Order: sequence, then structure tokens, then C-alpha cells
Amino acid sequence: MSLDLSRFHATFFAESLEGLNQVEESLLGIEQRGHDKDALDAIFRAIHSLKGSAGSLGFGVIAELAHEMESVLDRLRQALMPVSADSTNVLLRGVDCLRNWILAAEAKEPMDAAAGAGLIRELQLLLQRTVGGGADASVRAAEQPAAGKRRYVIVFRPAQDFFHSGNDPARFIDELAQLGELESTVDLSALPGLQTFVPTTCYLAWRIKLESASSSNDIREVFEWVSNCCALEIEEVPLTESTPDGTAGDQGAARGEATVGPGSTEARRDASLVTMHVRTEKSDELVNLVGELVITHTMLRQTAQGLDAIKDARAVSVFAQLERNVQDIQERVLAIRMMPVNHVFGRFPRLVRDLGLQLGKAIELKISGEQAELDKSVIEQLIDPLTHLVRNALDHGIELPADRLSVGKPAKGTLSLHAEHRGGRFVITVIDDGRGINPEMVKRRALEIGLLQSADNFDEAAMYALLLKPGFSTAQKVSNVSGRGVGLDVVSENVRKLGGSLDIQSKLGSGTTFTINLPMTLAIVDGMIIGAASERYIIPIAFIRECLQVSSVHVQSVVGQGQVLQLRGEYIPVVNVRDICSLRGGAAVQPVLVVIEAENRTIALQVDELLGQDQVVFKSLEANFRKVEFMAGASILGDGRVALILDISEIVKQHASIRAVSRNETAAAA
Amino acid sequence: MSNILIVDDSMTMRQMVNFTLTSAGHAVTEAGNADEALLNAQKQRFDLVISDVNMPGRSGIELVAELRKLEAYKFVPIILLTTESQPEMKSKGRAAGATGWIVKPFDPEALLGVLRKVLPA
Repeated sequence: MSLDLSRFHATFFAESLEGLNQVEESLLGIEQRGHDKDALDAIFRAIHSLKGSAGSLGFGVIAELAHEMESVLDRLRQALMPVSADSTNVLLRGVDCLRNWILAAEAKEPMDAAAGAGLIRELQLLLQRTVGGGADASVRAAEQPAAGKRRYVIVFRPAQDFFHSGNDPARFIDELAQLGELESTVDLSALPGLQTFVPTTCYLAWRIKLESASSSNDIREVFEWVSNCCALEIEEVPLTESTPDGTAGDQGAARGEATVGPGSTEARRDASLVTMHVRTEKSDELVNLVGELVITHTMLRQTAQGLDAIKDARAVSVFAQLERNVQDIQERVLAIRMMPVNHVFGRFPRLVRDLGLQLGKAIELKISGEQAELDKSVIEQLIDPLTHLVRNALDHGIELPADRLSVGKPAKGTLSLHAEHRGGRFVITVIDDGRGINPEMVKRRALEIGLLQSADNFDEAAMYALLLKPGFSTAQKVSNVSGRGVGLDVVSENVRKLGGSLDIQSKLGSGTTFTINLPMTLAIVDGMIIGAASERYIIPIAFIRECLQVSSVHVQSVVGQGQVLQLRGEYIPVVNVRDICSLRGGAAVQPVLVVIEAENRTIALQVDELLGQDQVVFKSLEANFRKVEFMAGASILGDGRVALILDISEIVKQHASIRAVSRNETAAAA
Repeated sequence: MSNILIVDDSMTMRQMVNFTLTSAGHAVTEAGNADEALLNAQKQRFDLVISDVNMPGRSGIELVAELRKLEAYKFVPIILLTTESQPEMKSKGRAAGATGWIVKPFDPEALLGVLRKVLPA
């Protein structure tokens, strides 16, 4: 009997890669917490099933390495072998090797079989070093269910038309009983009287107590066939009596001391209870439609402004209701696309561990706020910039243990990743307690390569601006000495593309903080509509610090600096929107200054008038027209007109550089 | 012992399923496409139908919908053979009235496990 197995390959690749990611994460967790039977069982099962499918699909090389890893994992989970840095190292390298092979197979490239030979030898050596527990024991153990029991309360409420799918609720309870000890009670409350009773309708519901080693996902899987025609609640409740192997105690201890995302595994487990896979295009379509709905609603609201509060009381209240509903829908739909930032943070424990070993640096990674949620599209594009910042911090920021001790710091460096929502924006900080950025080095280098014409006026802000310049960043040799710099311009550019900004704060000798400030979603933003000449533009409100009447403040002209706003002792450069957008026309009657902050800088945008605030739906200019300088996108206003959304980061950046040049010229002239 | 109809255009697959089911003591009838299956289903009442999704002519999903229109098959379990690479087939099958599915590849043990879930003990 020959089956064409190649059609199962894609499944195998995807499944295995996902499994390997899980294994990697769990191995790192165990390294932190020590022996954890549940986690080791899960790793063992993952490698075991990978071995099985690889074997049956003809990937003998993969199966062979997986087999050796499985043997070691079996000893580990039976505590016949201690969890050590050695064992974790070999297993992690095994995971890497398996992953490379699978990726190669997926790309239809040859697998480097030689890479596995050394690993297999190392794994066998590890096995030889342990005594007892023969081969039979490991086979027997593979068949045994995990010992760590959990208790669940499951409410299973089939839909009334449940029988129409040919299913029988009792069978699901039978199947559930195979997972462990079960006690069920039937809820008859929906049962009607005999006269209205329809025999083909399901009126029953069950409340089931289950004690089992299975995960809530295993339980959910039992009901997979009927997930659309039943209501299912699975709740894990604590076991009152302690388990014989003391698992409960172990978990407690782990929760107390976990340095990598305390409680994150629990949170993940909870999250997995109620998830559903939706294709990204579907949610994109939905977001798009909601965008249209918001526009339509805004148009409608403008029409409704003429309504009389008394005469048209009914219409006014209906409009208010509509407004609430539209807002609710918008919030909920955008929430669908929100993912915990852990999707990015989750990859760093391994990176930090490996890079730390490679560089000979002891580093503790502290992750917090990893459950904070951010739009999926933003999260995906954060991976590269964040990886860059983390690598940078490890490579150039944190010093070698000996150097740290010599300046009175603990030998172990600390790298903190933190995420939080802050006033409608999403803020991620990457903090290291390393050597910080040396302004002298930066200045010297900038002068050397001509980014700086004169050392005068070199302040902190100027230094940070220099660090983000392409010319500076590619100067690798010096950036190693100065401690920072490789590709920071790329990081900044990536963040800016997301509508965010990158800020740097550094103190020589005590460390550096990178702050990424992002909009919560790219789809719909709160915007301030402004007028300039006869045109309208939108400024995303998140960038606005305050708005001032030009007539009420002190604006002065400074030679070589253009106009400057003097505000509470601060000098803020003034930029006219008319200049940015090349607009002509009569002078504004009462111009307004909008003070905006981005990229570590503050500038004041002079506009003709403020026309109001509104939620605006972001439409890409590149996708619908072409890239326009200083414009981040376009939107449709309530009256149907198109308005461009100003690219604040770009404006601030461009303007700052013009300023820097003119300041240097001034200095040189003097 | 139950009376089972298997529908699959692949002879290999039919033979594999047939062998597993007859070994477990069931009576098996084979059909190579949806039309053949419908003719068989009208001639006699099966306790269970197992059908492939991708078949020339009418698909397994269309077959499910047709079977559910027959009075005798309103509540008879119908299992689809799907592949993990086509997850959307699960929901389509469910919408058509399928009882459940078996994801290919499966081993005989998995097939018998599914049988326990839908056939009278």
C-alpha cells in the first residue's frame, strides 16, 4: 500500500516548527526554575511526536536525532538525570538543528546531516554518564500518562439542534472519561413539558468535574467536532489535596522566583482556553469596513448638526445611540487584532542566554508588561527593531563581569524589557545597566566623519540626533569603542514607519534606556483637523502637547534659526505648515501654534486655524497614490473631502536636521 | 457490528479503511464517488458514512448536504476525511451537517477511536 506522503509534509513542517518553538521556550523555563515534571513531559511529548511523524514521512535523519533527544528527555523527566546547563545546551542545539533541517526540507534543500552526528554523540555521552534506568524503563515511561493531575469544571451545553449533526452528547462525555476521573451532573432545567417536547431537540446540559493530567486544550479537542453547536466552559480549579510528587509545590516555587515574565505561563494557558483562529485578511477587511463606517458616521453627524434639540429630540437621541454603537464596534473590532506583546518578547530569553554565553557576559533579563496588547501588524514589525536594540545592549551596553566589578557594579548585568499603555500610546522600553553612551566619543567621531562641523553647541539632544544618523551608525569600528550605534538609524526608521518614535536616554557609566513610543493601532487615529491656506490637514493628536494663539505668546526671529517660540523658558523652533506644504495665500487672521513632540524634539507648527478633532481612518498614500513628502497618509473627512495626515516624525526630523546644519554654519561663521 | 459506507476516489485509501473496519468486525460497502454513495445510501441504511472531501464530481461536503436531505440520514453520523492543510474544510463540512472529521494522515487506531465516538457501543 503506497500513499503519497509528500502532501503531508507541509503539515509536518508547520507543526514541527511550532512544536520546536514551544520546546525551546520550555527548556529555557526549566533552566530558570529547575526540574519541572509537567514542562519536561510536554517537551518529551513534543519531541516524541515529532520523531513519530518524521519517521513515517521518511525523514530518517530528523527521527534519529529526535530519538536521541527523547532518550535524554526521558531521563530528565524521570529525574534520573539532573537538569544542567550541559543538558539544556545540547538539547537547545538539538532544537536548532532539527529546526534547520525542517526549514531545509521545506525549502527543498539538502539537509546537513553531518551537523547532527556530533549532537547525537553528545547526547549519547550524556546518557552514558547517568546510571540506572535501562532502555525498557524509558519505553515504559513513554506510555505512562503524566502524573501531574489537574482538576477542571466543565460546562457542556449542546445547542438545541445538536442531534442534527449526527452527534450524541453522551459520547463526548464518554470520551472525556478516558482522560481521567469524571463526575457529571445533568442540567434538566431546559426540559419542556411533554406537550411541547420535540424528541429531536437537545434540551440537556452537563456540568462535569474532571481530574486529569490533560491540558485544557486536550479537553477542548474532545469537543472539536461540535465547537460550533455547543457552549463549552472549561475552568481549571485548584486541587485541594497535594499531589504525591509535589507538583503543586514546585509550581508555587516557580511562580515566586521566575525572573522571566512571572505568571506568564499561566496567562498563556488562560489565553489559549478561548482562542479562535481567524485569517488575517478577514480581520483586515473588517477593520477596513469599520473604517468606512466611521467615515459614514462622521458624515451623518455633520448632517445632524443642524437638528434642533427640541423639535428633533428623537433623531438627536438616535444619533447619540448610533455614535455609542459605532464607537463600541470600532473598539471591539480593533481589539480583535490586538495581540500580547509577548509574541516579540518571548523570543528574547533565548537570544539573551545565547548571546550572553557567546560574549562571556552574565545577564539577567527582566521582562514585564508582556501581556499588554498591541495591533498585530505593529507587533510583527517590531521584531526587527527590538531584536536590534537587545543585541546592541548586550554587545555594546553591558560590560564584561570583570569590568563591572571594577566599577563597583554587580557582575551580572541587567537588561529590562517593559511594555505598557501610556495615554493612548504604546510604550516599550529597553533598559540596560551598562556603560552608557560616551558623549566625547560620539562628538569626536561625528567631527571626524564630518557629521558635525564644530564641537560648539554639542549637547545631549544633538548627541542623540547624531546617533540616529545613517552616516554615524555605519561607522562600526568606532561604534564598538563608543559603545553604541550600529544601525540605530534603521531601528529609528522602522519605528517611524509605524507612526512611532525612538527616544534615547543615556547616562555615562550607568546605562542606556531606549524608549519606543507607538500608536495603539495603525488603522484609526484621533486627529486634529487644521486649516492652512484653503487646505485641511490632520495632525495625529498623540503627538500634540498643546495649542497656543500666536498673538498670546512670544515668537521671535533669531538669526540663522528662523522663528523661535519662547515658552516657559524653553525655545521651540516654529515651522509654518504653509512652508511644508508649499501653500500660498493671504495671511491667516489668527494663526495658531500647535506644539508637537516626537523623536526627542519639540517643535511648534504654525497653522491658520484649528477646525476640530475627529477620529480619522488612515488610508495609505503609497497604496492608493504615491509617497508624498511629509505626509503619512490620507483620510476622508466628515464632509467627504480628502485631507492629508501630516507625518510628524518626518517633519520634526527634517526640520531638526535643517536646524542642526544652520546652527553649525552659524557656529562656523562665528 | 455496524454497517458502514466508505466513500473515497482513492482505491488505496478505501482499501486501507476497509481493511481496518472489517478487521474490527464491521460490514463495509465501498463507493468511489458521491453519486455512487447516494445510490448505495438509498438502497440500504448505513449506520455510519465515512467520506473523503476532495473527490472528482461532487465533493464530500456536497455529499453530506445531499445525505442530510434524506429522511433516513437526518441523524446518521457522517465523518469526513480531511487534511490538516485544509482547515476550512472542517467548518464547511460542519455547516453541511457532517458529524465530525478525521484528519489525514491517521493510523488504524485513530480511525477506530473515532468509530467509538459515533457508533452504538
